[in-house]
Amino acid sequence: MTTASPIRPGESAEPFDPVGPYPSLLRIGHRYEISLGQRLALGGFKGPQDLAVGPDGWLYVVNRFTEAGSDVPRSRFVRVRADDNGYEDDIVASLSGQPDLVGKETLPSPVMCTIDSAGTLFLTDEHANLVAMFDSVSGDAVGHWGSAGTGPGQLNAPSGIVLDAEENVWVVSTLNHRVDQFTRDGEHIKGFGEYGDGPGQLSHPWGVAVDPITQTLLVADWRNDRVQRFSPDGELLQIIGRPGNGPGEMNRPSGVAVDGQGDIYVADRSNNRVLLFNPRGMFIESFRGDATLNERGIQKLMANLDMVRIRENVVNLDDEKRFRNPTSVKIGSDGLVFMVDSGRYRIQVYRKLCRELGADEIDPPTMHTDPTLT
Amino acid sequence: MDEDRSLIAHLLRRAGFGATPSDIDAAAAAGYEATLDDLLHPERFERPAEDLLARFHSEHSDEESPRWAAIKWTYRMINSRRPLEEKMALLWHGVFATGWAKVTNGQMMQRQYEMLRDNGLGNFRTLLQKLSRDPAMIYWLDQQSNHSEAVNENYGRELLELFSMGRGNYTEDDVRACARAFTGWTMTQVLPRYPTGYWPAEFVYREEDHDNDEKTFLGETGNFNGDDVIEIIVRQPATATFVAREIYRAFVADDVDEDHVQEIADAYVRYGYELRDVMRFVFESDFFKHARFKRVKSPIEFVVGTVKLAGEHRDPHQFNLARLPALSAMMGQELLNPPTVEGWHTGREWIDSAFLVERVNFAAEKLGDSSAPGIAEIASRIRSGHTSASAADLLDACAAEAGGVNLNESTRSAILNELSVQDEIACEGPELDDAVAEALALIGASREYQFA
Repeated sequence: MTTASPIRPGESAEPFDPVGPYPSLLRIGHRYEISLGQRLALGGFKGPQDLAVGPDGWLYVVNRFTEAGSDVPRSRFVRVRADDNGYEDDIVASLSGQPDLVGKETLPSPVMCTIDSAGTLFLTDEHANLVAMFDSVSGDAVGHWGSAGTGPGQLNAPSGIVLDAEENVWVVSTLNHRVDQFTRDGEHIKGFGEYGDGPGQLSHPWGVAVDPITQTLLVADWRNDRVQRFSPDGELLQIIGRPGNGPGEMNRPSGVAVDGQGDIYVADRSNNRVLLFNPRGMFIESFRGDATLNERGIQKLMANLDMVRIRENVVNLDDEKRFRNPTSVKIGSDGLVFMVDSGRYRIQVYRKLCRELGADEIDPPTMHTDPTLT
Repeated sequence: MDEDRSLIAHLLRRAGFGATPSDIDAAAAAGYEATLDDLLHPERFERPAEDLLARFHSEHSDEESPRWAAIKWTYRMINSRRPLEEKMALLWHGVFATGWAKVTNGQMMQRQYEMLRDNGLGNFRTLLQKLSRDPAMIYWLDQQSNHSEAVNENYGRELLELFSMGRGNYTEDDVRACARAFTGWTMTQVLPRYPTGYWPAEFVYREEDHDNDEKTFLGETGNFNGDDVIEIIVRQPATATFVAREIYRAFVADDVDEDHVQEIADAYVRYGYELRDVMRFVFESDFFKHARFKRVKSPIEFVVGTVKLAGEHRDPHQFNLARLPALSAMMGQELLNPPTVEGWHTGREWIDSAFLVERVNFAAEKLGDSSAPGIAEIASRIRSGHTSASAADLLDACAAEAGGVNLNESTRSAILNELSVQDEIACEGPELDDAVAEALALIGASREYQFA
């Protein structure tokens, strides 16, 4: 059930405690590490939308694109190492192992993905209205589920997908404006959400994340320009952000991720940036992109000497670093944060640097609570 | 179809891209003048929300391909409540023909389209001023290579020949002076497309690269800059006739009546080059109201009108929107990529055997789908109030609902011979839906349906 409490952005409702369960941090910052993939390069991405961080250390990147002049799908998964020292193209592209998916042998419109502890990839497709499963090692399709419709548990343009601690599957149904929980085999367990712009209501939600500390759900409420936190039973707990392009404001947020310390990363897609909030929903910082050319990009450039000359003459290369329509953020190990820079066909990798503080290293949370105090 | 509905349907075909039967009902109830006034004032209505379109086509996150710009434009043509601004953009896109083939930057093409849409109903002077500052046009006609010490005449020549006055109304010296007036009108250097994609350029005026010497242009002498030249161009009688002829061919008829063109040219002068007033004059004229089905639909008009009638792609989530501009290209009109700076050859030249097959197949597919919302709506309207209908009545009703397609007797007879239903058909059963779809598919394949 959705609770229509008079909650305002930045505030939290009981019973969610935005302080107690989370560690206090001395924030050092984020270090840009590397950019993965490269546009128009052999072994590059094309239309990357999302990724899953596999238990084997590989990243599985959903690439969504179509044949020129039509919507004939040419979508595929690419597997890449987080340090760019490994790359495999086209590891999963076909649903042909699923004989009942006649006419859907390729993925029409993949949106987002996740992966379980055994290495099974779960992928949503917003036109096929299904969740498809693949073996991440072999690339074989190993199952699919979901029925199209508007009722509870039915899928209508499914998008965000995430596994909870029990490895049940939460799926955002964008055009039903709902989030539903399923077993791994697709049996509907429960769900919540209704259309609207009031507290707890959703408009065309996109990404979803599970807070690993509290097992609460963060939903990218895309057309309401905010992120909302819900309990697994659908109770509204917190509203983060508001429409705009100022600090902490959002313009069509698409992806959301929560790291092991409860920090919330939001792909603020139409503002071309990624935002970071603490568990209290307070804005911390934004990322606009720091990309560098990787080896594939250098090779592509060096094969086009005219482009090298034009590049030599460019007065301002600053734009090249920046995000364009970043769609998703995912968390890796050791503080790695993967930001899917969809419009520039790359993933920008950052590393979060911070120190978790013991109780004797910081004043109690009841002190200095006014955020206007310095 | 009664005269009022027929006239409204004509207006909605020409000032827009056609209409559903219920759209025609609503416009007929409002009346011709009120409908026209709304068409001439697009600012009264919201544009379709494009965030949802981008949401469900996230494969175009780079926003850089001309395909994406063409897809978005096609969607607007289908769904905009401001169809005349899209029609004006299409007119000026055909006149100021700029192509992706050379520009190779989808964002710059998108911005040019937006400029044409936003100024297409404005003052022609402003339109030429904006055009001369448009980065896609600058690159298309080599304005970035037009320097005070090395004049490139490409844009100056086409501005006179193809964009305003037409051949025979200026001299080679005028071309030279025009080009000199536009020296220093260039654009910013952009990042190279490899390896991270395209960036749009911006207009920039470089005073140090402008020829500040005196120029004589069309009999007037001065230290002219680009805007001064445009000011002289827009008041030329040849420009008035040029603009009038382009409007006539786009909105009235393929076969030009020079007397009517002159009436439009007079309006252009009378209203101080204000295109909204010129278009009101055209749409209120008797020669417009009588020019029904005198224009061959261009491919994109054909595709969009058919999709509107079928009621498809109202939802940005519907799959295969990209197919529509691709089909238009296969019929001879690739949006944002006209074949040359002369634009497309229109009228009967839209039709050849290959293009016609594409048109017929597309119309038959879309209008023959009884499950399509628009076709179901037509069946429902025909069913309403009737228990049964003859094949002839059914065909006539379908032709009327399809916007008053004016089938001649030969076509009508041929379609009646082809229909599965030869006798009375009960209106309450599902067989009516199939019969309606069949009749509409045959109407869509007719010669008459090719005309707007």
